[in-house]
Amino acid sequence: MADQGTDHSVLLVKGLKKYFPVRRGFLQKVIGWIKAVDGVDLEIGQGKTLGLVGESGCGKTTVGQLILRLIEADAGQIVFRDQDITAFPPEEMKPLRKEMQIIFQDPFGSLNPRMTVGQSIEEGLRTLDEGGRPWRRKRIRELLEMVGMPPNVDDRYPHEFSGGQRQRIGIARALSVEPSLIICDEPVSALDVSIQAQIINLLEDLQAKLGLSYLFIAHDLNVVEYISDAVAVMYLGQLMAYGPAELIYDQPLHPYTRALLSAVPVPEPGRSREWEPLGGDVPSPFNPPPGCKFQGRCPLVEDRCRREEIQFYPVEDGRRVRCWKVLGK
Amino acid sequence: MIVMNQNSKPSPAEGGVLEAPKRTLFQENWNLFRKNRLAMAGLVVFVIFFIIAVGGFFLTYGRSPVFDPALVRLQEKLRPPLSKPNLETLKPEELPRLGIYLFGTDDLGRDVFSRMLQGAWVSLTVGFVAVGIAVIIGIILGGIAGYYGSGQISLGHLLASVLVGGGIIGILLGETAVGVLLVLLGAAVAAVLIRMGNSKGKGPIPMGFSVLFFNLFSVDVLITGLIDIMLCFPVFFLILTVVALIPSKIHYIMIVIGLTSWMGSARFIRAEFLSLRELDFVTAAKALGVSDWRIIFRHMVPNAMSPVLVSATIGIASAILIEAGLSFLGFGDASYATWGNILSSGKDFLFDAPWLTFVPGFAVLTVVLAFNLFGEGLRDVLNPKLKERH
Amino acid sequence: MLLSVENLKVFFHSDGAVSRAVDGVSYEIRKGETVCLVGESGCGKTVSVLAILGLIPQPPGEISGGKIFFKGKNLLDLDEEEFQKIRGKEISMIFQEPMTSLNPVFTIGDQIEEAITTHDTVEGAEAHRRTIELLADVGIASPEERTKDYPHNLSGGQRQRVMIAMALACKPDLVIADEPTTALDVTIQDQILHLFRELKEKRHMALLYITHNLGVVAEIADRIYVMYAGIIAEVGSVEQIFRNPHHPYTMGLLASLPSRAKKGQSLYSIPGAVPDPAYKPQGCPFNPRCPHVQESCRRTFPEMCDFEDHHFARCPIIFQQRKGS
Repeated sequence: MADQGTDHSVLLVKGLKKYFPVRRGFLQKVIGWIKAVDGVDLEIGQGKTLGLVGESGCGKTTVGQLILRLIEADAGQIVFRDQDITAFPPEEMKPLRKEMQIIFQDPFGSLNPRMTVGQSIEEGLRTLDEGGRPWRRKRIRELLEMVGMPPNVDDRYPHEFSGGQRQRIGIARALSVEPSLIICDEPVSALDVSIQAQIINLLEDLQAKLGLSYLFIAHDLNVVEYISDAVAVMYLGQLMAYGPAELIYDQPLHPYTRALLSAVPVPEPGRSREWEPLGGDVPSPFNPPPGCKFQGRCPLVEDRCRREEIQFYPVEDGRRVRCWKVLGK
Repeated sequence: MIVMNQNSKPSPAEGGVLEAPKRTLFQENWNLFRKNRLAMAGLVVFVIFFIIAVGGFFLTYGRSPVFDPALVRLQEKLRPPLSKPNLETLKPEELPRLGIYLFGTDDLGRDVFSRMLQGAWVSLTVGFVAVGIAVIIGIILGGIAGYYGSGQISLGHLLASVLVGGGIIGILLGETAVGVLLVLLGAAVAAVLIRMGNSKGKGPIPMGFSVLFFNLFSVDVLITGLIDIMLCFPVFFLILTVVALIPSKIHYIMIVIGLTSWMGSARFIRAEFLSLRELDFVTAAKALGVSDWRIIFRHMVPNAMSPVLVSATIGIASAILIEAGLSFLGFGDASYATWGNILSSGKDFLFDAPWLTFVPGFAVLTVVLAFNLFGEGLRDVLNPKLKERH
Repeated sequence: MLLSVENLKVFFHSDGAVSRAVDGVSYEIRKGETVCLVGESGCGKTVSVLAILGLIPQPPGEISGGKIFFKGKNLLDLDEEEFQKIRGKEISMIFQEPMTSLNPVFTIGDQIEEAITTHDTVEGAEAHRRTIELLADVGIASPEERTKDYPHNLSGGQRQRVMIAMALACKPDLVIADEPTTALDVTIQDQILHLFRELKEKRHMALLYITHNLGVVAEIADRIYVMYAGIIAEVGSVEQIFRNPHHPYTMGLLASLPSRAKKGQSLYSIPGAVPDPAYKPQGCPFNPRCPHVQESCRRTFPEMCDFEDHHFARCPIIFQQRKGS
């Protein structure tokens, strides 16, 4: 899956790493590293959605920012449409910025409060160097309509809108440069249930209409299951499982995937479930122990997990799983 | 479930129906501000002061102004307020315009009302120009510290700037040859830095040059250090020292006050930038490929201005106070009437002519108080945490 | 009946407009029962419980009507001093943000002991012993040592456990939990829900649980009150609400949840947005978003209709449909 790029892949990520130094004291000496992203491989197909799930602090947001080159990776490769963009200088990156966009979780922080909705969207159109102001004004209205907003709201300020409407405006801004890949960083987790469904439908409609590819970062497993073609499960900077959504959800192999899935509250009363409550807390990514990252909470843990770095084993059905035990290796 | 077959398309009506009355941010803030009576009083005094000061400029300006603040009528000295001029001893053009001396006359028989008018203009310009300078320096330094703060200053940067700076000082002092040499050397170091910096990562840096890339400290450390050093000086005495050394022109005084009071705005802008930098709309702008310059001035500065606006309003008050203090101590520009030097000349006649002290003293008090009240009202309105309390 | 809220109205005044945050809400909790208040943000669920604890800031808030009976006493008649005795002792509350609900400069031991000694006159040693017992009860490992920890030493899940221990300090009869797991990760949320179920069994306390997450509701509730725009839309047991919802809002909420069965088809979504509590539509507050809306919904405020066996919904239209068929 992830290591041989197919013809249809939009984005290919290999061995991505990002360590943040932790400094302390007057001289700002480095006392350790936060291994936010520690070797991540991903592939997103043309017009497909890859769901990236994990608990807080697992590094999923950092992955998104690394792909957009908003922060620089320490190691690994980011290949966008057969171009290795990992070390592109800013001038060469500029045309590619239009290809990859991002939408955010917080509908309140994602729009500039001192700019009208139209001005916010126009920021993207300006970078296109296409047409003048009349063209941009027409395009703003088209974009607003595309995301289900009345086109005449372009002179209003963000504080006049509800969370769901702001999220739509954020999507319109991302679409302004006509990208092919959108990083959706928890786009619905701050929204109410009824609004959440509206935004999910909008994202699905836009994907069908414009052929967009999504990297859908979220912690809500139900939403990810609904929207994703493939799913990657992340824990402490590493992928634990990766593969087609149905396989990950129907026959979870990795003990973390299993625990995560059984912990999701399901809106069906009286549902019987095998109780596999996961003990312990999400550990900090600061100076993690050697061996498997999940060892501290794993019900199957053995000596080997603490000694050696566990490989990301491929499974016949196209999945990859970072656990030697369930695979009998 | 009955509703399942419903049309799932979000209706565009969602965006259209905004039942609550439409209000801009400004209107909301204005409604809050209006409730603060003291701040409103401050605003009213501020507007009146502004009108008087601008009017005062036109009425006291030129060869034969409407109110001449410099016209000496020795025979009419120390007349109390509202007294009538002696029509027999004065030439017709020397008569006060209002027919009476509204605020009295001083020890040289000059009309205090005219002098107060000119003083109002001086105070206003000192306040605005000094604070304008301070805010501009504050935005630039605070913005650099907040946005590019993590950038490192290397030995090479330091060397280049010391050489160029030394060279310019040399040229100014007349040592042209040495100066030019130093500037050229500095430019050479800078050129090496830029060339090597571009090829960094592509190949190893030749030995000997790598010492130039030794990082000393970050930009942020440099600027916050500078702020802390500036804050160590008691500003008024620093200004006194500087003013004692340079010609006492009102423009120099404005510049000096501005150059010594930018630290507050720089700190505010830096702090705001540090938090704004993390906000999603800034990230979104970066992802759209918007230039750094535009991100700073279009996206970040407008959002960082509220605390600066508050400190600037209060800064105007303190600039007016500093200028009055300087004039009172005799370091002011004697070619203009200012509230400070009216006070200063009045102190010798405190018992004979108390109006010479009370009129300017009361004016300074009112204006400074008004600016402070207005500034604090503004702070309450612009602070989102305090807003929830209302 | 432990607690019964009758026709409670809480309004907020700002800038000449009146926000009808809670607009005639009634609910009841029996001893040992877990009741969930479900609704979207701004539906008035938190405001209604703040009123129970007498924590509505007045002004701008105003309790404009209704009664709150706790063990037969109307809480709205009590003065501040009498309220102090009930708050924390007989009714206690757990908040959403474990980060900000604990005081960062005291150890957690100090804070729990303070919660105990505020209402019970006990010796220091006894309070300490009870603190350790409480920490053990809420599943904190090696509680003896943990008492000396400061809040920043603990993880989010542990902080929420400490908050629960503080709430239980005086053996209250009613615990109100306001979105206690919303800020936590799924696996930690699972642990906390498990803890709540365990504590309920052990202590026979009533739990009033506020959440917007229907999954959590299904896991924990005995009975459910669905709130919308300051009113109760539907009341029923878990089974009744999830298997056979009657109010169009509840139906819409359930239908809009993403799940595997709906993959590939677009989700149902309730059109529009929650109304501004100061500018609610006339008649049924849900009428602009309702697929079953009729002319009468725009004029008259709907009655609470008794569908079957303690299952009520505020929708006469569906009531007639169901009864007719």
